[in-house]
Amino acid sequence: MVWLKVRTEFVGGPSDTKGLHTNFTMSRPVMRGFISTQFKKDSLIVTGLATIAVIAHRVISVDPAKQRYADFYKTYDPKEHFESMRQKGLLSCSVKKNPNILFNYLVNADEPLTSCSIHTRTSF
Amino acid sequence: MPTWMALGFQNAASPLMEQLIFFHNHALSILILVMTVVSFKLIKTITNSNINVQLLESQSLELFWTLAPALVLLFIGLPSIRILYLIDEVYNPDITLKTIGHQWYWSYEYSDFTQNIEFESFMVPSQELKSNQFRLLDTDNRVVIPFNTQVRNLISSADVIHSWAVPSLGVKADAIPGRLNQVSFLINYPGLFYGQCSEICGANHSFMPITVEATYTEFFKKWISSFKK
Repeated sequence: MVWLKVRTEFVGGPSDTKGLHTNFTMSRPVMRGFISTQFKKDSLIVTGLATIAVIAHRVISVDPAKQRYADFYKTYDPKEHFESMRQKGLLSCSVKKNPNILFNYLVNADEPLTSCSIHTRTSF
Repeated sequence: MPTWMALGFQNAASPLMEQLIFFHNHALSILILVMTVVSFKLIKTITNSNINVQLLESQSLELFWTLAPALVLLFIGLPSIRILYLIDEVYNPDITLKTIGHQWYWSYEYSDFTQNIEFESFMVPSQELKSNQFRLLDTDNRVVIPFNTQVRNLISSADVIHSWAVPSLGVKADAIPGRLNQVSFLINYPGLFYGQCSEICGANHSFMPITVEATYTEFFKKWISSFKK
């Protein structure tokens, strides 16, 4: 590291502004192994920066994503989800029963599938 | 299904897709690490006014820039290989579905039951869409599968190469004429899952989608039994 020392002094004393004289003195730079020391210093800095970047990505993006999936399945009710889709008529092959019943798990085997049919194209 | 301005993956509906998403996030972390290091060194090199014309070699530097990438590759490769083997694992599937690609529709066969069930699945034209259907994604006949059930899908083609892909299930396999490709998947929850043909196959390549309907086993059984001979 080169240290630049700047010293400004008044030649004729503090009140004499015309005789301003500035001395620049520099410390002797250490050139031996300069690149190596720079590299080591930069490596420390970049290690710190990369660690911060990775930890930030993990904390902001990666771990919350895993937690979102875990939280979803903790409270997920497939019956309720299925029934709401069925009531909205989104499922092609399910019988619409009494809408007041949330889910009738005991499906009547004899009840025909009124909304399910295989469509055959007759025209293109 | 894809939503407007979505950048990332669709929500995972199968355990494999969840693992793929987590691996993608892991690989992205490593990418951020490498990009940080490279960007920093690039900026330092560009702004550096010191030149060492006598620099000929540096064994330690070469060791570092050989070992570091090897380590990075190890951290990427090991989880990747793990998921690769997970995908190819065969878990004694309960149902086998056969998918045949045609120009330009899919046909499906369920041969596990007393009668062979076959049907074709065409895209619903935009003019015939109902209000609760999606443009270019909905089909007239859906692939009905019970959820929480291991399914084996054997995919082939009758003419040119197609590709059967459902992103939310993490499934994509080419439908190649004269070849059977096998994929295995399990759907975590009931619902509708959409996909599109993923191999250029002609004029209507963009208009032969896939709709998978995951339902309860009881409804699946009723659907199967509703097919009359």
